[in-house]
This record gives sequence, structure tokens and C-alpha cells, in this order.
Amino acid sequence: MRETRLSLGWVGGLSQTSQIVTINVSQSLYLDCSASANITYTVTQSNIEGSQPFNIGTWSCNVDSLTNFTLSADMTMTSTADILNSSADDFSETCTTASGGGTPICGAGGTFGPITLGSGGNTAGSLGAVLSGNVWLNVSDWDVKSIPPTRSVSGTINYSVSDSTP
Amino acid sequence: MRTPRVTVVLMLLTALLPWGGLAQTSQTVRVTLVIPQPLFIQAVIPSITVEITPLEIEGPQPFKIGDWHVNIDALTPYRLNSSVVTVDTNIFDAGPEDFSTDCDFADDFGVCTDKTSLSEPDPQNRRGFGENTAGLNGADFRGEIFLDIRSWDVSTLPGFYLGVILFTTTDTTP
Amino acid sequence: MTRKLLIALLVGAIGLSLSSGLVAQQNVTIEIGQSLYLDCVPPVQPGDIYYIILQADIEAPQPIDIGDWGCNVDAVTQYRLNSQFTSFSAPYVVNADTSDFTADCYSADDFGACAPNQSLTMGDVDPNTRRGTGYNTAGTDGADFEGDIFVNMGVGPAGWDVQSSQLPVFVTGTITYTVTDTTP
Repeated sequence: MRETRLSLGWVGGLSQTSQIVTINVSQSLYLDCSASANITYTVTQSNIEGSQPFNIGTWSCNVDSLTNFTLSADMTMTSTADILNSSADDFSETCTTASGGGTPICGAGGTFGPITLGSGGNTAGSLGAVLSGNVWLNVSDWDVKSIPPTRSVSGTINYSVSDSTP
Repeated sequence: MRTPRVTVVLMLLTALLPWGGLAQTSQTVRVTLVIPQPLFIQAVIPSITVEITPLEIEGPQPFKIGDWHVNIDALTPYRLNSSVVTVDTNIFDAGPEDFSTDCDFADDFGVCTDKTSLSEPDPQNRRGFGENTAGLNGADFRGEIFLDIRSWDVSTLPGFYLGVILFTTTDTTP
Repeated sequence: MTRKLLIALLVGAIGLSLSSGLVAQQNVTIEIGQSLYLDCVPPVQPGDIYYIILQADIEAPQPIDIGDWGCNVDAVTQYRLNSQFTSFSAPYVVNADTSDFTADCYSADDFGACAPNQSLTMGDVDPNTRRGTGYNTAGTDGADFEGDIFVNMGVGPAGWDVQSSQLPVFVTGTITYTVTDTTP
């Protein structure tokens, strides 16, 4: 919290008064990843034959910041019973674009666990920093149970911003 | 001599779906086998040329004039027959009935008969019978050929008799 | 006046903090409707196999090689590959049946492994009809299995008996190739 006191003087006046203005900043970072639509992807024969990992979707986040920030992501699997060996480390993300205020730059991305997607600074006066990229899947160690029925795995990618000011 | 019969087997495998076709976990291949002819026969002896000498004339009749040997590849049970066909002669009363034969060896599921005629129909001219020979070098049949000249009347010299022994295989599958 | 301004600023800050947050989520669901893909065409024979058995084939040691088989498997699971006759007709060849046909497997790649079993007999069961096994092939062009198909026409009284009265004689059949998920 920062507090600023301003003194207002009457030019040539006899009386004097003051006005106290207090600005509370309870949150310096705001994250909006609503542009990262849910991904539902069906693996095809060409995916199996193609290079691993293969693209299964995109992500995009908007960061409004009053401080230096780091955008990170991690994945939590919610359903893996259908496919042996499936786990979060089969998924990965890359950052391909960083634009908007706060001079954002892409991070290295990588395979889940926690990964850094990008970073930036104060975005005041802009619509925020926009970072976006791709979501990838590697199925080379999967062992799918007998089909039918259709088998699936599910998970949730969690995006977070954190203050990187030392 | 009967032309050796030819057996041809045709195998056709047809893939019902091409590479990169509809995704699937099973695929069928059609097989077609065509067998135009199931018997092969080959004579493996040279021609026989005999000059009759006083020794043969004086000797017991019939007397041996040579050997025969055929090889048979078969995909079916068969019988083997042989007959003499006269091509030309200047000897009166010379003919196929003067010739006789025996079968004294057969292998690879071949079996000899005891018939000796070279001038009568089956079964008198039957040399033997056999079975499928796949995987073998074929059934070999061997025997001897005899001549009886007691009925011959040679009036023109030199007398000659030219004939052909015809070996025939016949499918005996009912 | 001063108090009203302070209150207004505080409310504004609280309202903004409720509209967004430090974390966000993206749900991911991966569906697999088919974990095995099979494509069987002999490697050096695009499509049909056409084979003529000559006299030398009858004389040759049985069984004789009448052609190749080849299957490509794309998999995201463990599997086995089987093949066997699923239909057969030889009305004019006594003693001919699917047990006269066999197959071997001489090559397998991309985590595929050949099986030693050779039966193509209709009605026979795994593992006798198994050509090979394999694993997940993701990122490869799939496991290629290759082998030969043989026929043994038998010998002697138990051998094939072609009925010459019906020439030309046809023998027809269908070999079905199947991949099966072996994940327990």
C-alpha cells in the first residue's frame, strides 16, 4: 500500500486547508486467460505417425500489471485411468507471441510440471500484455486400454502470474 | 507319346483395402488358387535301336531289347499306361502285340503292376499307379521291354520295324 | 468532501480486484477413438499376389513360398498381430484345407517383434496364428511386419488330389489380418 499526501494552498489566501488522498493497491497483477479456450482433441492415425509432440491447441493470456511479472503454467491431470503412462509430462506449451503493454517477452515454455511462458512489466496505460502460444501432446509412451469404448484423458492447465520484483 | 501334362497353380491375393485407407484393426486378403493341370510326365530313357542277330533268333522268346524309365510329378492319384504304336515296317505280321514289358521298380508312392501288354487297353497295358508326389523328385517307374519275333515274316532285306512307345498318365480321382 | 473521495477510491479498487485474478485455467481433454491402425499390403507386391506353380514347385521341398505378406501397424497401445484364413473353398481338390497354408514373419521394426508361430488354419487360435507383437509407435511411420506365405500340397495318399475332370480347378479363400490390444 502506498499513501500520498497532497497539500493544497490558496494563493494569496489567509486560510489554509489540506486534502488527504490515499490510494490502496490491493492487487498489482490481473490475469485473464479466457481466450484460452478449452481443448478437446481427438488423436488420429496421422498424429500417431507424425512427429512428436504434435499441436493440439493454443493458449492466450492477458496480463494487467503494476509490477514486473512472470507468467507461468502447470497442468493437473484429472482423468488418466483409460490410458496407462499418461501424465502431465506428455503435455507441453510454447510461447510464440508477446505483445501489448509492459514490454512482454516470451519464456521458454516446455513440458509440464511448472513452466515459464513469459514475463513483462507495468502495463498501465495499455490493454495489458498479451502472451500466447501453442499446446502440444506427445503420446509416444501411452498405452491405451482396449477400444471400444472411446478412451480419453483429461487435465487442467493452470496459468498464474507472479510478481517478479526482487 | 503323349505330351507331358502341365500343372499350373495360380495364387491370387487381393488386398481389399489400399495403403492409407480407412482406419481399421482387421483386414482381409482374398486368395484364389487355379490348377489347370495336375500331372507331369517325362520319359528319361534314350531311344532303343536293336539289330536282330542269329543269337536272338535262336534264343528264347521274348528277349529283352531295352529298358524304360519315366518320372511323374503329380498332384493327384494316377495310373501309368504304355503302348506301342507302329510307325512303319516292312515285316509281315510285325506289330505291337509282339512287344511286351514289365515294371520292376517304382518309388515315391508309385506302385508297379504285373501287366505286360503293350497292345491292349487298360488294365492290361497298365504299368503302375501312384499318388501325390509334392515335395519329391517325382515317382520313378522303371522296367524292361521285350520282343517276340516268332510271328514275323521278313521278306525284304533289310527288314525294319519302327514304332513308338507311348506313356500315359491318367487321373484316377473318381 | 475528503471522506467521500476516499470512500469512492476504495470501492473502485475493490471492484476491480474482484473482476479478475492471479490464476486462470484451461481444460484439456484428449480423446482416442482408435488406438490401432492396420494396413496390410505385401511390401513388394502392390495389391494382388499372382503366383504360378510350375513342375519345379511340385518337385521342390514342401512347403513352397507362394508370396509375401506385409502389414503396417500404427499404435498407441500394446498389440499383437494375427492372421488366418476366415474362408476357404477347394471343392475339387481332395485333402486341401487351410492347414496346408502357413506364414512366417521375418522382419519387424519400430518396436515390433516377430512371433515364431506359423498357423493360418481357419478356426485356429492365438498364439498359433500370431505373427507378431508390438508397442506404441507414436512418432514413427508405424511398425512394419513382413513375412512369407507358404503352401504344402502334401504327398502320397494324404496329399492334394486334384480332380482333373473339373479342370481348371479353383481354390479360394480369405486371409484376415487382425491387430488386438493386449493391454491388460
